Amino acid sequence: MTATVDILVIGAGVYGLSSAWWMTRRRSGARIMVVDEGEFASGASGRNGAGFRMQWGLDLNIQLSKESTAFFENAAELLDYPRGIELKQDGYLVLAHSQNALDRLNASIEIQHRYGVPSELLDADACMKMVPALNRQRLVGGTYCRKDGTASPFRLLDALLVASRRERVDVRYGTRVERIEKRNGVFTASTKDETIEARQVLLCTDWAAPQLLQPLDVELPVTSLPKEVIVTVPCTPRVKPILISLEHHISVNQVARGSIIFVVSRAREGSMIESTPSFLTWAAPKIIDLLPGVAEVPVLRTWGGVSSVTPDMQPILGETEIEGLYVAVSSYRGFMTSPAVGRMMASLVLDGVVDPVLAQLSPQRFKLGNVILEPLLNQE
Amino acid sequence: MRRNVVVIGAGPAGMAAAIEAGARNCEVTVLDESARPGGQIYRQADPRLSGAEFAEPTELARKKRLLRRFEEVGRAIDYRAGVAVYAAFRNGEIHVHHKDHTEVLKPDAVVLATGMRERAIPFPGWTLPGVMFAGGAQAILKAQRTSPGRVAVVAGCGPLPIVVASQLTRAGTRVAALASLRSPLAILRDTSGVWHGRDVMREGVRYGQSLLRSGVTRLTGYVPIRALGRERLEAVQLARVDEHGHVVPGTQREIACDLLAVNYGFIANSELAAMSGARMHHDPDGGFWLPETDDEGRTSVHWLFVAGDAAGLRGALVAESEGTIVGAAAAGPSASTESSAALSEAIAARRRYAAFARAVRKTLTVPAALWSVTTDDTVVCRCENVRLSDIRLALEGGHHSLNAIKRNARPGMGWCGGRMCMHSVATLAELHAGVEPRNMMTPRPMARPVPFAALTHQRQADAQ
Amino acid sequence: MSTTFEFTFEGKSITAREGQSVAAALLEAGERCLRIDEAGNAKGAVCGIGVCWECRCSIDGVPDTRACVTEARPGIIVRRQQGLR
Repeated sequence: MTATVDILVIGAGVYGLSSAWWMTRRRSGARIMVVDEGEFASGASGRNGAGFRMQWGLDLNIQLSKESTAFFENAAELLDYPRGIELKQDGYLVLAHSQNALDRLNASIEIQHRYGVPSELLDADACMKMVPALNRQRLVGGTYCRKDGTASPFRLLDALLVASRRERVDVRYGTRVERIEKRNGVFTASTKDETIEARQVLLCTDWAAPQLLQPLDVELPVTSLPKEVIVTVPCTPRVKPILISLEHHISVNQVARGSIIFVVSRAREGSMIESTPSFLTWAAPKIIDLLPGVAEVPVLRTWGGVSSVTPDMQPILGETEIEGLYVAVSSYRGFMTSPAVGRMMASLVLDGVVDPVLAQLSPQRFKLGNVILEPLLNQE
Repeated sequence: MRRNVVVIGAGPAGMAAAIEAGARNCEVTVLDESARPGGQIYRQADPRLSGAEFAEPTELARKKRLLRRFEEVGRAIDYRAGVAVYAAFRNGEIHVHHKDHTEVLKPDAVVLATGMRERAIPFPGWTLPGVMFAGGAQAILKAQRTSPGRVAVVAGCGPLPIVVASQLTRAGTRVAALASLRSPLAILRDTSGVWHGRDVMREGVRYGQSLLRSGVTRLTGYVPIRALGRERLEAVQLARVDEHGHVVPGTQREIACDLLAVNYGFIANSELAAMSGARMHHDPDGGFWLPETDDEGRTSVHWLFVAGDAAGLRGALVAESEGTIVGAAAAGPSASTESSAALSEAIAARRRYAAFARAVRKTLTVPAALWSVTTDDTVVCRCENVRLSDIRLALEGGHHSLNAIKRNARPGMGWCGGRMCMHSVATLAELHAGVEPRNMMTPRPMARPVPFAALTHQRQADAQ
Repeated sequence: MSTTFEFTFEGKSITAREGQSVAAALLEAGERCLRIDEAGNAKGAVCGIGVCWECRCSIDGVPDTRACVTEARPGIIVRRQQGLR
């Protein structure tokens, strides 16, 4: 059985669905199909901290997030999704526990202000005033941006899915592409039951992208980093903004329901989704150190997620060396950049337009030795 | 070097497994959440509490015998009361929560003897204070020597509601009605099964007789369809159902009460087996999600054994005999053969009581149509206040696996970890959307809530 | 005959027997509602064995304490939990 489309998007996570939806906006008449091996939100898009922040240190990251934040603020309207995406903008407080970290924050804030990001530098006292539950020890200061926040990746994905299907995008779950080939200018994607022919292919499988590219001799330096997440029982409100501690490599989000979600980055062995035995004992002291008052709050559950890792921890966005084959790898900030990335990838695929931000994140940059380091990474 | 066996659960299966593994020269550790051994069926009261026993003498004798045997091996077994196993990992680690610290054990074998919890079928008003599980009401009677209500309606299916109704009347509660899905005599259809369990049947008969003597209104074929009251239960509406489980219009009756004790069967406490990576299968009326086990309790995970109701609903007598069998298997090839007589006896006993268990099991099937008592605005997940309408919205949005329904509508995200609701969510998803979310939710820590402070203080068990 | 003692629940004096759980003593005293959840629903003991977490109340200022597995002690101050507190 063969299906023939103009554009095949592989991966129905935020990058895949956002790109597909943006493509429909152009009304190009292109037949678009999105396939995903799993079920709705079963990949990284359903397993992340759900946050978005404009507080970055590199122009391109600020630009990606700023555009995306504006989209989130208007998502319900733009996607015609009255239910909304559970937007919460109580800000992000990025904490520095060393002068070095504070210097990085200081330098970054200057760049953020050039783009009109409403971020401010805070001293330790101001941080404590904002979040009295913080541990004052070693806290040197922080930065706060009131427009940063969280939204529901499930609602966003649902909104994108419904909107895309409304525009006759064929979205198929439980469909795993085993192989991509190119012959006579046409791509053939093979699944267990059928083949899909397409003139263009956009690969949005994130950390799994190399699997489909290797047989085509396209090298993509992407690996994966598992993350583990701790969720507490619902408890009394004590953390209003999202917290990021650069020293602890932890982000903290107390959701409306009251549970506190700790996303902990730790380089480790092991399979993607499984919880590791040593994780809780490793993370618990760090969490108590950051927020002493949670010592007696019970952990209710844990879950795991995966982030893609690239040599410079920046996304990889653009056309590969095979004409018509495009790739979009998020490098651990897929959700928060998905609106902007979707727009840029759609422009690239449909019209060949390379946004200046996209140009910096091209897959070819590694061969050219262009490594761009982001100073405000919350990773080990 | 002695083989190290950890038994999780000190009910009949756990106690028997511990005794047997100990007799075969293993180093045995028993972990149990309660202050005293006994599990649910043999729940013990605090010795400081005086009061009458409401159970039948022969059942009490069985209980005392096993508890005494367990006590006798006491010093040879490391028995830890009041601890909770909150995680099991594929690498064989068992993580245990003591009050202010946690501990990691990595034994040669684990016997999971965690038994079952009660199955709920949500209906309007079921969250009102005063609506309890029948077994829960019994736990208060047994362990607390307290009656949980003044005027009770008891409802559900199988033998437990009959026993509880009888015990409540013995405790001085006025049982206004006993509503049974089926006639208690239905079990007699399985004559062979009943014969094998004739000693237990005699107890059942005596419970039934004391109920009759008390003049309780018996409503066969009736189920609760609504609980009424403002801040507490004040009355129950019951209605008759036909043999398919459909509510028969015009048969409603309202009975004033301050306790509704209801039980529709049981769900296995098998989460730790799933967390360990054991292959699971679905058995809707036998415990819902059960680990695959062989006759000696082996699972697909080489270090994990399961004994008793956690491997499927079969009752206390099977649990005890199976505990001995699985304890022997978990002990591995052993130098000691002294207990082989106990083992042969246990094998024979289990065969006998398993036949009875099969007869009982038939009385615990719940017809699909009965789930129509769960209306659109009935709360299904009590912890997170998720109604059937919220679940249906998720189903209509194409979210069909339990993981997807959970992510989208939030059932199972509260304190109880889905223990009260996920079987209902699975059943309702099948009934309303024709999907079969047979796969459990991905099992992960925590099996119990544990504070960060305790997690910070973790001790490793002494290396062998 | 068990020794009895008193503790308070919502300002009322409740008699308990030594060895009784908070839930049992409250049930015996005719009390049913042990907390009001975040959505305003009255809740009480359901499973009796500590697995459903519905009977959580505030005992001596500590919230989220299960009444059915917590032993009553003389002079404790038990309050209905209101939402998260």
